Amino acid sequence: MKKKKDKSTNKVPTAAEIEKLVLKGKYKIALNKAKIYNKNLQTKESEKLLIDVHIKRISQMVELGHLHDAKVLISVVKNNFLSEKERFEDLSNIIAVREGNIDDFVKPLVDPAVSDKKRKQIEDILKNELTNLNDLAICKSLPLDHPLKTGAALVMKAFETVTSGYTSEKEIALPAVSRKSLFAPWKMLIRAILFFYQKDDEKCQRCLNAIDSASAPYRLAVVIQSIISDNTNDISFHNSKRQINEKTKILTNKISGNMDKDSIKSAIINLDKAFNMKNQSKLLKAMKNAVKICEKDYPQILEKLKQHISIKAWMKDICYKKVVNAMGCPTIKNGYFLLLHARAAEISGKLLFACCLFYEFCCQAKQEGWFSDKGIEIAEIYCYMTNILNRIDPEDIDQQRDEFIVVLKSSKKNFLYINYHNYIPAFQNNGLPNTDLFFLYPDILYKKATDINPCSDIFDMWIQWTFKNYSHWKHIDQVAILWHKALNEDTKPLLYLMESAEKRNAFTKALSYLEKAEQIDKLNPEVQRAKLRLFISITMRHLKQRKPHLARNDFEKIQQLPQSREGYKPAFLTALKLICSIIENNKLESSRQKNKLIKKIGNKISAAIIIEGLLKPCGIKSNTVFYLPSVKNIPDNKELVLAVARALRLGDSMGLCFSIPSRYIDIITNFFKNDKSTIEPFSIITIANSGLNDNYFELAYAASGNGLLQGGVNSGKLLLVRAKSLPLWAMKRKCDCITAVIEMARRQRDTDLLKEAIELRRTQKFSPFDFLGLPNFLDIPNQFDDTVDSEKILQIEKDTISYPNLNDDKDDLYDFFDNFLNFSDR
Amino acid sequence: MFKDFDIPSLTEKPNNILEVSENADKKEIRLAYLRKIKQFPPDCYPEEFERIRDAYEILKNPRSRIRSMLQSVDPENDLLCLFDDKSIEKRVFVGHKVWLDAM
Repeated sequence: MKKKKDKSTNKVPTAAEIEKLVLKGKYKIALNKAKIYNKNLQTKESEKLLIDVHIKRISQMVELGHLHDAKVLISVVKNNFLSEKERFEDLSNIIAVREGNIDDFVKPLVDPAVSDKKRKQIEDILKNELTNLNDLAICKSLPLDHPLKTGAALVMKAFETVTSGYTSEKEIALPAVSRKSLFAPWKMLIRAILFFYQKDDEKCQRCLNAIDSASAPYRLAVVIQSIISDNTNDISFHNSKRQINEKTKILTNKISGNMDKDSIKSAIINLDKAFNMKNQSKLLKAMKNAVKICEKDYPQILEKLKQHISIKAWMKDICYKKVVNAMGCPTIKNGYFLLLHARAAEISGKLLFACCLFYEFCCQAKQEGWFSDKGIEIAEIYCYMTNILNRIDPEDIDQQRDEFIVVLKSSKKNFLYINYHNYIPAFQNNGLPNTDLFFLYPDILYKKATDINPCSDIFDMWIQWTFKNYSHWKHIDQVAILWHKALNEDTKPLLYLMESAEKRNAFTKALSYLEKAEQIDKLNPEVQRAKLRLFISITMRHLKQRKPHLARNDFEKIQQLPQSREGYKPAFLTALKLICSIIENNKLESSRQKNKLIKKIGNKISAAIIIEGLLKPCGIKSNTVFYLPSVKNIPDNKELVLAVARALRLGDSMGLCFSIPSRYIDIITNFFKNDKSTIEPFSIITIANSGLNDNYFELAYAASGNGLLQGGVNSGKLLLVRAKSLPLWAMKRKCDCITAVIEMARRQRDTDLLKEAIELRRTQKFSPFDFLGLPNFLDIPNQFDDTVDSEKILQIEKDTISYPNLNDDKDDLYDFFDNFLNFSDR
Repeated sequence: MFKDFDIPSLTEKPNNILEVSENADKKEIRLAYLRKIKQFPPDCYPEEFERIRDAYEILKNPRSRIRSMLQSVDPENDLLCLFDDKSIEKRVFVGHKVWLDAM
């Protein structure tokens, strides 16, 4: 090696040799050789070559970011070759700009006499070398309103926005930056970054292609290109002089999330495993290790990791002090932490505490700017809290709440985090309900939610809650009145008020509410249906009071309503007229109306079911007008099913619940079991629901099976009927059906079915004491499996034609009792 | 565990599926949805399309949006989910300083 070196240094290189090295980009070697060449020749040409190579080498050093070395070399060369000083001016300027020392450099731009050439020269260097526009935005030598200064600030702001989170094109539009501006490459880079994060690689590529390859932003374009491009042979980028260096590699790794995660991953896996074991010392050790590695390798999620560890440990009842010791220090109690804690309490069944924490979360989240003080988010969280409270048995909630308040007052030990300052006024007030602890009372939460976001859905939730929790009409009316006050163009509260008045026979009041609803929206089908139902209620009331003259007036009013003339509804009016003639004991009229009714409804059986259904509400004890045909006299079973369905549906549409005559139950059940002829799904559902109302579960089961075999869009509704018809001990099957219905309803966007299924799931209680006919004193956990395949469940129910019975389905029964016994052991 | 069935259950945050910011307005959400369904038409990508539609359903309604946010926080999840591979593959926002350092 030594010999070789001696040889090479002794030999004087030629100019051609040096130029060749320069062409190859080997500036360092070229410079050494140029020095020897000049030392030996000492001519003007050799000196010029040496200076040229120096410039190349310094440029290379600048490019590599070795600014200090470049500066030292420039000063050495300047001293040695004083006459060539000016040739290094540009390089010195570039270094100054790169270092952010631009005050002196941009000063000439303020001088109005500066030549265009000079101005262009400065702007070009800024465009190609300035890497941090903030330096320009805050430079002191330019006045505050200088376009370069204001432009740089705007571009920098857009750059910060686009690199910090999802944003829109509008926010980073930069309309003031023209294509010819020195900021144009920055504008293109910002757009490229926006599309990069939106994963719109096509648009991103177009923006990258528009960036001047000599400009500073092009250095980042190379980084984006390296991530988005599968084709790494992209010519335009490979020919670039800018190479991906160490710093750009770091950026590439960070934005594409390719950090070295092996060590942290294995530490976290160990920690997850430790959480699932009972060895506490191992768990604390695993916590310590994971936090330590995360701090070193993945600091950006350290706080989140610590928050999750704290909450997981809380869920496992591990002493918080020990956890803090393992983690080194406690975690930040920010909005995310409180939300995590609230969810943990909710999942753990500590429902009142969960509400407490959700309230804490709201307070903290507002402070952190998650949402505004009166944002609809707060209203929605209040609604969410009511859902949590509704999971507590209404019979127990008062006692649980009292106990919770006592615990809250007396002890801090049970809670990982509670901001006691929020509750001091509440503790000073001993009266209940305590408005400072409003988050424990669903009605106050609803009130607050509707104050913030007075929307129909929340009022509807509130009124449904009131229906379930208060039997007195005044409570329901209060909510409806608040609803009407808040949304006076909404007909729904008026219809609730109308129905409430109707139920307590306050017909004048009911009519006044109806009138108001009609003033808002006369053509609304719900208003029209409500009007018909109210008129019928009034008529039936008059018939019950034996006031046929008033009832006859009512008939005329009903007749004038267009909605009373739809479908089979005229038959209903005829049935009322028939009842009226019975009351008046007018046999001739009775006979006339009877024939009319049969003609209008199309069947004697349907007519008989309607009359049977109207007798009791109209105060008539016995039916001497219609006799149902006996089973033997039924010529066609399908005809019977259709007739029954028709009568039931007519009753439904009038708000009355007619029953299937008991003598026909077996015929209809067998028909659905054995007959494959298609009956319209709505008729099947009507019969099945009537069967459920009257506890004819086998009938409902057979009807739903018949409907399910037909398939189609009503499968979800039929499956829900199937779920309701199953015996209690077939618990697993029942749960699977309900879960499958929820899934199907969600897919079909059938909100009514979804609500019904969710409510059934929520209120489904499984107690063997119901089954044994004993009082219910213990609810065992349900068997809902959210991973069930709805299609599979549907097929199982289609295939299972026979109604479950204890002899054939012993396994289900044993499972049921096993579950119960396991729960009791706990 | 209690599940909110009123909103479609998604394994990923809906705004990540549509690739819009947490504060995106209705117009932006609609545009992102249209862009996505153009990218994943239902006849070629039925499952992805369903996912996109579910995400859109959640985001377009401010109420379901907040409920989805609440439900997305699950303390029972394995801690490894914090380093979920899917999220690592995503394009990560790192702030402007890291970008400028690379220049």
